Amino acid sequence: MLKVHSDREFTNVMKQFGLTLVSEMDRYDRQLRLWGNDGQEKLKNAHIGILTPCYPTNLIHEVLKNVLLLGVLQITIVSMDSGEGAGTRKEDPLAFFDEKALFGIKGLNPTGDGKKRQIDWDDAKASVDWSAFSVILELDLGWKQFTAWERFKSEAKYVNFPPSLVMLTTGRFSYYHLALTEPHFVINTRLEHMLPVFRFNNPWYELRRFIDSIEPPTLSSEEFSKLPYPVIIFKVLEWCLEKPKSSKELQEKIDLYLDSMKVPKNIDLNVIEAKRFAHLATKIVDHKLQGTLDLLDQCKHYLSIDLKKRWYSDFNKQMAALLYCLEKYIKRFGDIPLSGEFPDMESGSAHYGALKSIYDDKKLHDLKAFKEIVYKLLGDRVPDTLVESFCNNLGFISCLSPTTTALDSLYECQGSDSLMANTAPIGYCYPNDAFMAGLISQEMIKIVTHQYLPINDTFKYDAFNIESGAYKL
Amino acid sequence: MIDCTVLVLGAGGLGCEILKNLAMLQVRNIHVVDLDTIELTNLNRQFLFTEYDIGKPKAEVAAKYINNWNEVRQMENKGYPEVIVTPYVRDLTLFPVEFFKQYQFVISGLDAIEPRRYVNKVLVQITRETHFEVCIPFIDGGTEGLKGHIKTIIPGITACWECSLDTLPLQQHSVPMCTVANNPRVLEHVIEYVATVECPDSELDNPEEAALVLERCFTRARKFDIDHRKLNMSYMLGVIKRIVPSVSTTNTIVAAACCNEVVKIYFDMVADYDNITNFIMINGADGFFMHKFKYERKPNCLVCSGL
Repeated sequence: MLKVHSDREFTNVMKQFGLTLVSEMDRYDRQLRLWGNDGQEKLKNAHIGILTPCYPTNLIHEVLKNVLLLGVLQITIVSMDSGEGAGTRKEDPLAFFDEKALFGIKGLNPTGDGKKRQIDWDDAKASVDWSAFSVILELDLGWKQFTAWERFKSEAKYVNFPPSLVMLTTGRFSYYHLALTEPHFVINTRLEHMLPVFRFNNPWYELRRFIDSIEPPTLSSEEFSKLPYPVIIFKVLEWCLEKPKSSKELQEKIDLYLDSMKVPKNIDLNVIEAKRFAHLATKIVDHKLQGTLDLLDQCKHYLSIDLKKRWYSDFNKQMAALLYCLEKYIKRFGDIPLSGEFPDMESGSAHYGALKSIYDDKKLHDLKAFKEIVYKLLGDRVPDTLVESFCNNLGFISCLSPTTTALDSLYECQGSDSLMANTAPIGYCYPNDAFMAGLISQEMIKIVTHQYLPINDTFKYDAFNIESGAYKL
Repeated sequence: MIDCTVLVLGAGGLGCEILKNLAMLQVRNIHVVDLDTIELTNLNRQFLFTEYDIGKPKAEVAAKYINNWNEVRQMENKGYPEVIVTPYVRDLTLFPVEFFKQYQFVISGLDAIEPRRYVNKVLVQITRETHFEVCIPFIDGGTEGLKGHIKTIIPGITACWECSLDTLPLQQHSVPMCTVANNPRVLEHVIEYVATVECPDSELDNPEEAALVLERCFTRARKFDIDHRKLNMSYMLGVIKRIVPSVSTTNTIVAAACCNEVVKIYFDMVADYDNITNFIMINGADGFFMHKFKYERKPNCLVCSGL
């Protein structure tokens, strides 16, 4: 019989059997609530490259602390030491963390066999596989180091470089810049207040039948108060001879409809909700469809089903292919697949459950139809889980276009009255490093997980006045 | 070096970051108060602790970490200023007013409202009773997911914590109990009912009891034909305990901004306290939004009016 004597032994036994650890899920519980298992898995499998003038510095330690705490296991640090930092960046003698605290057995990420590699620039040029990185963090490179890196990239024509997250600090001012070599797709922007879509414009057969099965004139006041508000809106739209053109007009029609049935106005919460959400029923094009059409227009040059084409990120390539399929779906069905959570609303349990299941069934039906198009155009080269996630997140998908402006401008305008104006250092202050390390690590999360909207593309922070600004270079 | 004594409230996600920043700013005396013990779910952000510390008091372990660091640093770099952390493992609302008078700054990394109200009240009282001879700045940090805030309170000069109490979301449930009991529609209604009506005394930290509560949630969801595909232990505990998502990066950012406020005040870099922009809101979900503004004092504030 297998005996284990400690948590660590237990962990190792679990790993032998390829089992996900409950303890690992508990460790990341508070952040799993932000980006889910899929996001966490992407972080766990990420390989972070760090370019720095020298190692260690407090800034890098702060970044490493964040990156390791997030669950990242693979980190490569390339030291480009040439005795010249962006400002006065040198090795910091007053380190808070030591290597043992960061990477040791009691270190910040004991969940797997983490690998930290540290390498000099000359060796890195010859031996590092740059396309293996998920992102490259450029931390405070000086001008000479920056130009050496840019020259190296332009000469390595056959390498697909990952996104670069660039950080510069000069005293109280700090800069962050995202450089993308290809479009970056966000699978879930995680916006918190997305409005629902009920398809008031084009109800399908099952929904129509459900609405028809309810006869408000035969309901008692109590029964009427248990109707979900979309049912009331559908009934009013049916009752109107002409579709109301504005939410105000629809609200008035709701009152007239209730008068005709002798139902008191503005008393039942479901009626109040029907009026509050009347605007959802008066648009010609649903907001999610409009948002998707705008996205397709923005990405029209990138849409492709050629999965053999070289992209840095397979994920971005697959997203571009799925958007291509979505365009075909819209052409065929005139709408996007139904997606998203059916929201809670004032209603009796039975009516709510029945209406929700009609929408849920329609989602499954649309997903099946979308999958058929995907299989026809792409075969099984895109994972089912991604197709499902794509479909379910419609309305929450976004795209950042590749960066077109060279970053030289950020360096070149030092001393001018442009973006880098007033950059005279006022002395070193540890919290400034910590702030920017937190910011760049947070942007790393967004790029790696393809969730939340990254800064697009430049951010300036004044630590003294606590002022910031976002710019598009 | 910052030659003063700072009280840090809480040694959690923000507390660990604040303690580390203060140590690196070479604050001579740091006191930290926290009643909590360390749990595994803390370790994605509370970097002063490891899994070997689970069950131990946060304040003591955090203080030990930094005091050890100080010792090593002293050995390696003779002459560097000492940084000493003193822990208090107790309910901070039990400290008398006199206790707070020893500090030049109080920085809060708490997640609860009542202890902050208590400390705010005490600090305003000290300013009032000493006629501004003792005026202790109170810097309050807070995070939730990728969002956060920093409030700088100079008692009697800027808005106090109580002045901005109405900016906080209500802690009560937004769903009426009759819905939860009679018309449950979603999992949250099911869980709320089981936790408050069926199993009000369950000890959720006990895995067996938590499993029992979860089973009852499944039963009730089935009874009302509610979609329960998302229901699991993590989901249930999130609803019952109102767990706030938390990540190291937001804590780093907010704690850094809190400590920056200390630096500015200590080194006399604030030109006009009457017009200080005392509120900073951040949100990193869509790009990085950062807004600072002056939150005005409430003339009828129950705590600071008349001061």
